[in-house]
Amino acid sequence: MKNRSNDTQILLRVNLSTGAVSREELPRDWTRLYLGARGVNSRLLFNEVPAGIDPWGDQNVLYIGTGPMDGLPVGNSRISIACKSPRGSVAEGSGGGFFGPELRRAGYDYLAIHGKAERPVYLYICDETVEIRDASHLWGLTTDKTDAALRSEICDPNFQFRYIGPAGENCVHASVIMGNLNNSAGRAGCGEVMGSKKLKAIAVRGTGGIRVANYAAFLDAYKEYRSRLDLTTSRDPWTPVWSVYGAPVLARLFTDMGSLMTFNAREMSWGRDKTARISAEVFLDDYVTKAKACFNCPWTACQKQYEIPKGKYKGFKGGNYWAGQPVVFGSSIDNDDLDLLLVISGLCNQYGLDIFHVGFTLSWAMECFENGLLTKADTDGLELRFGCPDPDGLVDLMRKIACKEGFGALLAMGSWEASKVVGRGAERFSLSIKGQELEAITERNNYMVALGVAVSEVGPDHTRWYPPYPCNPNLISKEELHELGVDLDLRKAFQGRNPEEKGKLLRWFSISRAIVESMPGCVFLVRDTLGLDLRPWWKLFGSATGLEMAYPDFVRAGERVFNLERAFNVREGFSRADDRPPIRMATEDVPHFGYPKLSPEVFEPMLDEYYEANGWSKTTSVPTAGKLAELEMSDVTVALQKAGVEVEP
Amino acid sequence: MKTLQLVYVAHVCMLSGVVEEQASSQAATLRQLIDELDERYKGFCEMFVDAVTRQLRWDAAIYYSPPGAPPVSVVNLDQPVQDQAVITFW
Repeated sequence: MKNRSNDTQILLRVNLSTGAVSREELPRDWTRLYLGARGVNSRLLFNEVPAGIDPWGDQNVLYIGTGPMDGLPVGNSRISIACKSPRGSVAEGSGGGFFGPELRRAGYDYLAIHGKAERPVYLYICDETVEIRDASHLWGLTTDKTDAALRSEICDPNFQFRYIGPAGENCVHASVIMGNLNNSAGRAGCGEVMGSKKLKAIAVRGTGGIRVANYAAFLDAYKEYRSRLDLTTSRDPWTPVWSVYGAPVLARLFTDMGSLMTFNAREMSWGRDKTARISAEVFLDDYVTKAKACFNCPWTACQKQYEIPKGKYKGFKGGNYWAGQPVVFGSSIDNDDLDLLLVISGLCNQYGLDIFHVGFTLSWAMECFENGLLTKADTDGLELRFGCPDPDGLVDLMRKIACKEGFGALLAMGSWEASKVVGRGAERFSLSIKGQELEAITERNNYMVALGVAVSEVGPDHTRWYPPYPCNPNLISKEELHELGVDLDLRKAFQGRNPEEKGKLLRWFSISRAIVESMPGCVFLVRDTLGLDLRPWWKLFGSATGLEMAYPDFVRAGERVFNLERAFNVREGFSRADDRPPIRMATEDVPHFGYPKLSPEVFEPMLDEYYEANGWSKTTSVPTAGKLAELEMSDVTVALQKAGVEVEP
Repeated sequence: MKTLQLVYVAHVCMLSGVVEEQASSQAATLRQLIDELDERYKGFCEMFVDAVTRQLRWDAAIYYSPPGAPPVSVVNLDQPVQDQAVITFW
């Protein structure tokens, strides 16, 4: 396999119904218009997945996309996975590891998986060789066993894999696509759709390479980018914290701030002693066996493999402890046993379950149980109370959720859909938006987060707008911001509970994230000013691809991406009414901290500001024809109108 | 003499050896408190105070909670320290 230039994008199409395989070069101007990864996936999805199709049907397409940075020493080795979500919206998520660079070395930038197989299969790709292989022997295996079986079968350690676990096979709500044992992606519905296609895994190996267009300029751009992330030069308090301990340190900060969702967010603070017992500090001291990084990452090795050292779960091995687990498997279910927490979290990875779905659906069920909406007769005899009085029952429940067995079948629906089954107002305990569970960062004391999770096209997803505020409002002057096209008052935007400027800030971070995820880049690699000042990304992109673009055109590419995703959603019937905080956050104040609920008086003006900043209708949230024309996407206006969507001029 | 609750997060724990402690302090300001802590934990001052500007370093952060109130991010090291305050270093 030869090296190839970095300005073309090759799509490999595989139809699982017919067995047909084809390669095509995507239009050359798509690199300029949508950059890559999430950007190109959003265009493919809008163009190729018709409105109103059955997400489980053979018309849904699963896209896996890389971008111009994949496989380069800059270390952004992400993939973007996209399809129509079973909740009707765009499903898109990114994952790290080594799969993206390997796919590009094999000569492909995108995979489009069409149709449905009759029996379980996996896709084998080795340079030009593309085969749909039988996976009957893999079906039903957990992700760790699937990984081992594929490695044993293929006998080449250089292969990279993506696979689903039993949860994906059984189309469990929000199930994810895993790789490298503990790298998950696509919680918005991608694992479910992969399972519905009976596609167990994708194996890829490539022997080619990618040519950087202008190496000297790329090296200069890399040095500038790297200086924003380096321990000695980064101007960001998260850099030293993340460099060793990673995201779970947030739990100890959150509990004092009224930001730690506790008892299903009925409370927002937990005891300091409890938080310390599940802290990153204890995890690192007693559990971590090895730190792992994604392909060529320039920052910290943020993935941590662990082994439980003693007790009844002694010897259990897993990987990765992020900001989410201390919340969803700690404070939210009132569990301060780190062993139990890590076992549940590790089992989620093995079954291919999404931790946020499982965690917040568990805490929803516990609140239902304590309020008499669920009883032991519903829970297969499990005493499902906060504090986890039956830990072994909880461990077994993971398997039941993944296999939709007994009480697990209810939880496998997710908290919103399960609320409809339980009835009697159970939905007020569901911490979800657009049918998908929240994540770890909270809303009532950080309005940027409240707005960000509410408007996200894929449901709550911090990677759509991260970081939740600039790391320091003094890092960039007002004049420099104006030069960058960011006309907002950064000091006001920095104030967590001031609704002013949040819509404008969110718009900018939405553009910023769309660009970074189209490189594609990691959510952690936007520290310092890399989320506000996109020029380092622009220089990396330009020198890597050889495409000369003015900076405002580069920014506009990011804007196109989430406009396309919004267009997809409104074509499916989503509207302003769907951009809401969860019921609890909209109706209850934060106890003990004085943070008020997200009332319409607070929330609606922020929503107006966001829509207006984007050039979207304030009534319907549909991008206006003028905005779409400005983005060179008048064809989207036509498509929306054809689908019966009202597009304002 | 004031009684303060001091919380150390992540890499700061490597210096302090504890994740949290109750401490007696005569410090009137955060700057003085950091100087006090530097005597106990050598290198504390360097971790939080920029050697040139003498202000809080760009890559460090402190949350200050007045008694019974939620924390706020510190921007001025010369701000007063109150009895029973909770101060988080990270």
